[in-house]
Amino acid sequence: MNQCERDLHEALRRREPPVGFEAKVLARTTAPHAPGTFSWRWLAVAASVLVIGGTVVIQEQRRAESEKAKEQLMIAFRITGSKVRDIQARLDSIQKRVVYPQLNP
Amino acid sequence: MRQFTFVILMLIATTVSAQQLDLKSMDKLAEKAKSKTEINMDESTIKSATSSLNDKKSDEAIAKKTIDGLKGFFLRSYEFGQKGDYKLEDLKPLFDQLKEPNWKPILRNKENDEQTEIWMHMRNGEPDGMVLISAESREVVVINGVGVTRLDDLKALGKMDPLK
Repeated sequence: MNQCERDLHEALRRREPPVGFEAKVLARTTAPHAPGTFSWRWLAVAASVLVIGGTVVIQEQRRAESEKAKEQLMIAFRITGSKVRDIQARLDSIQKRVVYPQLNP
Repeated sequence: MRQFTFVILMLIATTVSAQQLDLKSMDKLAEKAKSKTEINMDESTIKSATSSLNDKKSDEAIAKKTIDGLKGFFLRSYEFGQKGDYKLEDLKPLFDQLKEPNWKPILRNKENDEQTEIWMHMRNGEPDGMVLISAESREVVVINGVGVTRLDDLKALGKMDPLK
């Protein structure tokens, strides 16, 4: 066994934790946060919820606006369509009377 | 303050130029109407509507085709209780605007109590909008399509189902 192997063996040697280590760890996991302690984790969660919620609300608003705009457009186009049909019918009747008066007395 | 006034004036100018016709001149007529439909759609509202149009529905497919190039759509439709509730002279402020050189008549028909007119709006010799005016004894409809450059675009709308 050369020096390098000995160093490696020493570095990877199993060591016992210091006395009271387990108790300390358990105490930290169960201890409640002291009031007023700032937690970055909760802040990040709150920020994510706000961003996701905000995006959903904005998308929903846009969808509702788009739907309302479509309804308006369809009403406008249907009124226009019916007027165009009226005008075409009127022009057809004029054409029949003027161009073919003998057929349409 | 001066900058603020300028911004307000620019906004007003944009709205008026988008409309081609000042339809405020019809407000007095609207007061006499029994029922009215007034629709003002600028370019951004039209774009917003486009995303909700479904190509698989025939009427919406027609609308989607017509919308191409449309920069504004302004409609006034007034129904009157009985004949004589309004006079054709009430439309004079509107017809006066069509005397401007950038308006060109496409169709003018007057018969009995009915008057129908279609005018094209020209910019640099090219059509960039259309107005349809239909005045009947108990109904007046004025439609200004900004960006409508062909009569066929309007004719296509005639294939849509009537208002339900």
